[in-house]
Formats: sequence, structure tokens, C-alpha cells
Amino acid sequence: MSDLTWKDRLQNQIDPDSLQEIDLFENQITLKKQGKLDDKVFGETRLRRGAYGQRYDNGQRHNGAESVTIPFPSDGLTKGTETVWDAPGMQRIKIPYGGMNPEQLDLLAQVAEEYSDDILHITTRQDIQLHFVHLEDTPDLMRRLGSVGITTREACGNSVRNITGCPLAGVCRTEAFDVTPYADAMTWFLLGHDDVQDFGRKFKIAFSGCAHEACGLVTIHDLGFIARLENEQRVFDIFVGGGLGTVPHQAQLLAQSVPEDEILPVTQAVCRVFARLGEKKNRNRARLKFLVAKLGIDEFKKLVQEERTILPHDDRWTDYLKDVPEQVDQPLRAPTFLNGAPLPEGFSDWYTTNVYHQRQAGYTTVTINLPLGDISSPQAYALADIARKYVGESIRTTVEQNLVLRWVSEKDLPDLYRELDAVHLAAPGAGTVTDITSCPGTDTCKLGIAASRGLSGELRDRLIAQNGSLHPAVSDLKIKVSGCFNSCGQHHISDIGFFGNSRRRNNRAVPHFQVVLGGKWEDNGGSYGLAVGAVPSKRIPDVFNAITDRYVNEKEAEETFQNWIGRLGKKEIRTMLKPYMDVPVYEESPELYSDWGDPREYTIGDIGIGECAGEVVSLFAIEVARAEGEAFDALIELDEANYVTAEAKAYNAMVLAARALIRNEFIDIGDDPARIVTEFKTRFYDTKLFFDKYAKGKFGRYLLQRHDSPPAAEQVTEAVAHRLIEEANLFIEAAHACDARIAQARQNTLKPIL
Amino acid sequence: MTPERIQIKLFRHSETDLKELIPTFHEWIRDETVDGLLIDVADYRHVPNGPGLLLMGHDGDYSVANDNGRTAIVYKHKRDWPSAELADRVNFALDRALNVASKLESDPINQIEISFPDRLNTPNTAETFEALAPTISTVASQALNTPIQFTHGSTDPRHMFALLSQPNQEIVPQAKI
Repeated sequence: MSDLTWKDRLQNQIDPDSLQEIDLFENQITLKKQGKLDDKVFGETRLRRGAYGQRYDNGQRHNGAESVTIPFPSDGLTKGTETVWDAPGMQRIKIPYGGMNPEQLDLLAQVAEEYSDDILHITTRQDIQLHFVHLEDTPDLMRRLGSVGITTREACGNSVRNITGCPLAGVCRTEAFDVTPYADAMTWFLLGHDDVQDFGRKFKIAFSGCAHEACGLVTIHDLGFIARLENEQRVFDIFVGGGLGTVPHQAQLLAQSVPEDEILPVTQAVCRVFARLGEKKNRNRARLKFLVAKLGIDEFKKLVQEERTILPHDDRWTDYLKDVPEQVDQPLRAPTFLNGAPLPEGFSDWYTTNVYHQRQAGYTTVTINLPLGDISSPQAYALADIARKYVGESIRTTVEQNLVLRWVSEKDLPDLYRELDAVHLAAPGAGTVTDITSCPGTDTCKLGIAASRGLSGELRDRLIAQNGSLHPAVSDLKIKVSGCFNSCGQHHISDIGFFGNSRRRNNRAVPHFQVVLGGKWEDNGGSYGLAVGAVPSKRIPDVFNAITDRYVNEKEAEETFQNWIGRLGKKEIRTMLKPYMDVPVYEESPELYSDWGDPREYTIGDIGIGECAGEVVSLFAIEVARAEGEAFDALIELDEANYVTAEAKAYNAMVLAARALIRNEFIDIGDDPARIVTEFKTRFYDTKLFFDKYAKGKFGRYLLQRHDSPPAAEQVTEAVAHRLIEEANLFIEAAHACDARIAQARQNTLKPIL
Repeated sequence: MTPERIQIKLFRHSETDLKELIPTFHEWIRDETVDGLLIDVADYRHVPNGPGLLLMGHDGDYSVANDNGRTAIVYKHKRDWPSAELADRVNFALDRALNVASKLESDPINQIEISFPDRLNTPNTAETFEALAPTISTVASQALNTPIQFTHGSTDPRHMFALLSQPNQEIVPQAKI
């Protein structure tokens, strides 16, 4: 035993700059405890070290009967606005392009055991997250990670987040070239760079080795690079302004055929333009996608080009290039092929779905299919040993929340399978319908509305149970689930996606998921699906079966799910969903009033049971149904390429939802949109009654902006109509939430009388 | 230095239906049934031999997991110790673990693991074993009212230092706790 601290013990094993930053962070923790740092400043500081908030960190939790205060011993001390000091948080850990070695995996397993809950959670952006971490443990946690070359710096906050890349880079059969060295150089060039410290919002970068696969998901990123060979020279097509979030934007081409020695300076120029012109006050309009949309891609290009020409030269732009040819993985074992030896039970299924034949003959990449992206510490130690034995250094995380081992000599596969199976890491089905992507949702995320992990786990169990009998067309589908509209589960780019929301029935809240159909995973997240209807959470498995059964029965020979959805049309889809959408009263179906894996009666915040409510349908419910119908009509018009009509209907849907709210207070509001918008602004927007706790007035502005600046008909493209429909759906969701809050406030006021 | 984190694992010879425990854990939070400041329930049933079902707390976490056909009832104390002495701390953590075991009707406890998720103060070495095992054996024997001998668990230096009692020794019959 020793009296040393981790700081003492590791000071010679950590890069001096990193060491200094962590020491500084620890000092800031001390200053905050002494009341010498402002909450907002400390909050952002903490985020830039990857130390994020977690559910219930405001010190309140609904226990199924009432909202109660969690008596943390913090004595009023906070670590950010409305964030209690002692409340556990989430620590996000950057894993650039998902690459790590066994030593790093071992260390991650150790810190998970000591500071977290023995679980490493792989995120949809190739990070690793630890949950239930106390803030005061984070400096040591960071030092220990730093001792093996891992950083948490700028893993959260308004900064350049983890840079993602294809997990198959360097071994892929269809890539132009290995993007790993470029993603690596970009990571370290931008980390802590002066030009990325003044963003209004986060900034996400991705690298992909080709345009047609999904691995890099370039089109959903603020800045994306797709590798190409042009006259045998390495070039990149650079895309900007993509992003999912509440309203998804497809990235647009910024520059084509950019030589490899230009990607760092061009990125720096983009960052400077974003820092200078990006929105700073309204964080809901502060992502790069809004700046690109506001300026137009041509103006944005011009600004970037101008910025590029005046950038002072930096040797780091090209220094790394001399090492690129040497940055090739060295396989541990010689290439071999399966030789007909007996195979272990279960091997064939696993081999079919989890083994990828690399372009290097005799080598394969093996996917470790992790349920809900989770791996335990003991499993991680075992996997690190297996990696050392079979592949050496090459482990990567994936955006599908899995891990891959690259450079497995093919003849080793049966032995590798046995060793993985011994620690329950040989589940087949990687990349299939059972390999569901999910954000943390209500399990740990403070923004979560519904139990995305609970739903994903339930769907996964059911699908695995029928895996042998699943139609191949269903097996190939992608399911992605988000706990709210913020899209961390990437539901927009799946065949069948879900995002959490809630509905109210007689003063009780019911967890729902919006069903999002027809997104495209390939082509780097090539197109986004659209929400077609909200269904109670507990009915989602039935809805999934209804959709997939019909797809199997009706699909034409090679018809993809996306094409079938397009052919079926939104109207028919809505008809199919309708029987599942109606919510019976609590007394008839109490199971619908709780979420998957959580027996507490569902609530958002403190919304509870209203004993004074009769069995009547509220005026709001009737009125808002009209708005939902109008939004759905807009979808149908979009399907039929009537973009102007679709856009107009989406606007009208928002007006109707606003009217539904107003009618509770002002029955004679009438139908004039101008009057409705004025009243909405006065009664709900200016008073902040409509404001979401986290998104603030964002959803309300969708209506106000469209009303104030309607587009000319010739400006209404498919993308414009698509976006307004998304906005209309979010506005309607916000109206539901607003009505619930008002109803609850009324109940609270009535309680003393009752 | 004394370990800042101590984990007690009580094994029973058959598995538990963890799904049935979810509402129980929520009730325990609501009713403050077990000691400590309880925060939330974390469900890791999907991770084989993983942490199972966790009752996350501020000072300590409770969990019940299935571990290679057995049930492991776990208590990990993390902060806010009532004492700075090793013996007191082990006794404190053991007491909480036994308390929660007593609330879960099941088979007798037939093995105990005491581990230290604190590699700074308790590295996984033979020296640590020699330094800590006698004290911990005494504390455990007194607490359980039966002689407990510990062996050094995994000696892999990556793993946390752990002490393991003899397997299949009926250490605490259900009736006793």
C-alpha cells in the first residue's frame, strides 16, 4: 500500500500538456467548491472535460407516486445550472475513429470498476461512456486514461467532438484508401486548437473511405470527408452542414477533390468561419447546419475560401503526411484460410453475420456484437487478452455500438470463436435486425423522454427468440431507437426508427414512440426517414411485427424496405398504424402507462395522477388531433411531390396546434392564422409557457419564423418541405408537452381545495 | 492507506429471476428500505455475467447478478465512510451486504468475495494479500460467526485485489440472516 496519489504516481506517464490541463480542471473543481467560479463557466469547463450530466442530477426523482428530492449531501453546492454537486454524472471518453489497443481497453475496464458501474458503454459516435461517476473522481480517472494515451478533452461541450471513421478503414474491400492516418492527424491537430474554442455549439467530424457504404456516416456530420482516388492521387470530397438533432439536415458538398495536404487547413478555415459567424446566443440555432442554411452553400464556400487564403501557415498541416505510408496495421499472424477442420457449435451463424473478409487475403475482421453497446469489465479484460493473442493492437469501436477485431487470420476463427463464446462475446447477428442501436434514453439521460434501451432490449429479445424463423428481408433491416427527438440513436437513418415522446390521456402520461420509416443507412446515411405516427411504447413490438409482416408479404422481388415504404405511401402506413395509436383509459390497460423495464407509472417531470379528472376527452385533445391530421396530410403531399402544398400544410398544422392550446383559454380565437400566431406568441411564447426545459423556445420559433417569412413557391424544394414537416411534428409534440404542464399546474393548484 | 472502495459479493448456489426484482428495487428507493442514499435502478440483465440489476446509490451501490449459474448479491461502498480503519470499513460494508441479502429470500450464502476497487491503495499483489488478509479474515469471521479463511482471488495484476472464501462452505444459512 502507498501514500501516493494517482497524480504523483502517473506524472511521468502522461503527456505534460494533458497533465497540466487535468491539474487545472482539478483546481477548478476546488474553486467551484469554494464558491469562486460561476455555475455556467464551471458547467462548460466540466463539459469540455467530458464530464456530463445525468438523469436526476437536478436532485429530483419521481418514485412512481410523487416527485421527491434526493437528499444529496451537497448542501446547495452545484456543478452547473440546476446540477447538484453530488449527483452522479456521465463521463464521455474520446476514442478517435474508434481505435484502441488492448492496454487501453484494460485501463478502461479498470476505471469502470473503480469509478463507475463495471460497464463500458459504446456510443453511436465511437466514444466510450461511463455512467454514475462522481465529479470528484474525474481528475484521477482522466489521469489514468491519460497514462495510456486516452483523452476526455472536448468530449462534450461546444467543441470538436470525437472524430469518427470507418472501423474497416485499411482493411475494407471497397474503400479508396485508409482514412485512419487522416482522422488521427485531424484529432490531434484540432484538440485544444485556438480556432475551436469559441463555437456556439458542438462540432462533429467524420471520415469515410468510400461514398456508398454507411460506416463513416459523413452526411450526418458538421464536416465530413469521403476518400477518393483521382489519377492515383489521394483526394477528399468535403461535406459540411449535416446533422441529425431535432430537424435533420443532409450535409452539402463544400469542395471536391481536395488534396490530402489541404484537409487540415480547409478544416481550420471552416472552424474559423463557424466561430466567427455561427450563432452564439441561441444554442438551438447554433450548429453549423444552421449557418450553412442561412448563408447558402455558395456563400459559405466563398467565406471558407477567403479564410483559407489568409490562414497563417502551420507546419502541422502536412508534417504527418510523411508518416502516412508507414501507418499501416501490422498483422500479428500470417494469413491463413479455414482448412476444413471441425467447427464449434454456433460457429456458422456467427461466421455468416460477424465475420468480414478483408481485402487482404487470409484475414478477416470480426465484429463483437454488444447488446445495447455494453461490455462488462471482466469481458473487456478477456477481450483485451484475446486481441493480444490473435490480432495485436487492432480493436475499434463502431457507430453501431459494437467492437471489431481486425486482422484475424482466417484459420484462427474457430479458436477465436470459442474464446469469445466463453466470455459471452460471440453473439451472432452483427449488423442485422437484432443488432439494435439505442441511445441511453431515460435510463441515464436527463433529456430522455422514453425508455429507448428498454424498448431496444425488448425488441432484441423477441427478435433473437425468432431469429431462426425471421425472413431474410427482415433480418437485414436496421432498427435505431432514440429516447427523444435529439436523435442520439440516429433513428432518422434506419429502416425502422423510433424516438420517444409522450401523450396524455385523462391527466395521465403515456410513454410513446414516434415511428420513423424509410431512412437510409447506406451512402453514409443517404436519406432520412419521416415520422408517421406516435404509438404507445408497449405496443411498438406489435407495430414492428405488423410492418415487417406486411413488408414480407408485399415486397416485390428485390424491393428494399425503403422503396416499399415509398410505394406503400404514408396514408396507407398511417392506416396500418391507426389501431395501435389509440390509448385506452388507464383502468382498461394500465400496462400502457409505464415504460419498458420501469414499473413506475410513467411521468414526465412531476406529471402524476389527476383524481379530479373525469372520463372526458379534453378540448385540446380534440383540437390537436386536427393538427396531427394536417401534418400527416403534409407527409402525403410530400410523397406525391407536391412540395408547395406539403409545406403549406405543415405550416397549417402548427397553426392548428397553436390554436388547440389557445382555445383552452380563449374559446373564440377563430381561424385567422395571423390572429392565432399573435395570440400564441403573447400567451405561450412570450410567457415561456411553451418553452421546453432544455430546448427553450426552439419549437415555438418554428411557427413564428414560418409565419413571418413564408417561402416563395419557387423556393419550396423537397428539402424545404421535408424540414417544415419535421418542424411541424416537433411543434405538435411541444404543444402536447405544454398542455400537460399546464394541466399539471392546474391540478397542483386544485389540490389544496380537494 | 485504507481502501476507499470495498465490494462485498455474497454467492448463492442458484440463479435469481432478476426481472422480478426490478419493482422491488424501485420500492426500496421509495421506501428507503436499505441503508444509504439510493438514487436509481440500472438494468444490465442483457450483459451475461455482468452487474445484473443495480440499485445505484450515492455512498454505495447494491446489486444482484447471475454469475455462472449462481446468484451474486453485491454491495460496493464508494464514499462517505464512517471510519478510517480497514476493519471498520470491511465490517460496515459486510453489514450492508448481509442486510440486503436478508431481504432477498433465497438459498444460503455459500461463498464470499471481498474485493477492493481501489488499485491505488490496494494493488493486486501478494504483499497486499499478506497485509490485509488476516484483518479481513478476523472481521469476516466475527461478522458471520463462523471461521472464514480467504485465499487470494485472481492474481492477474490488471484485476482488482480480491479475497475469496472456500467454495461451497455454508457460510450464512438463510435462517441466520
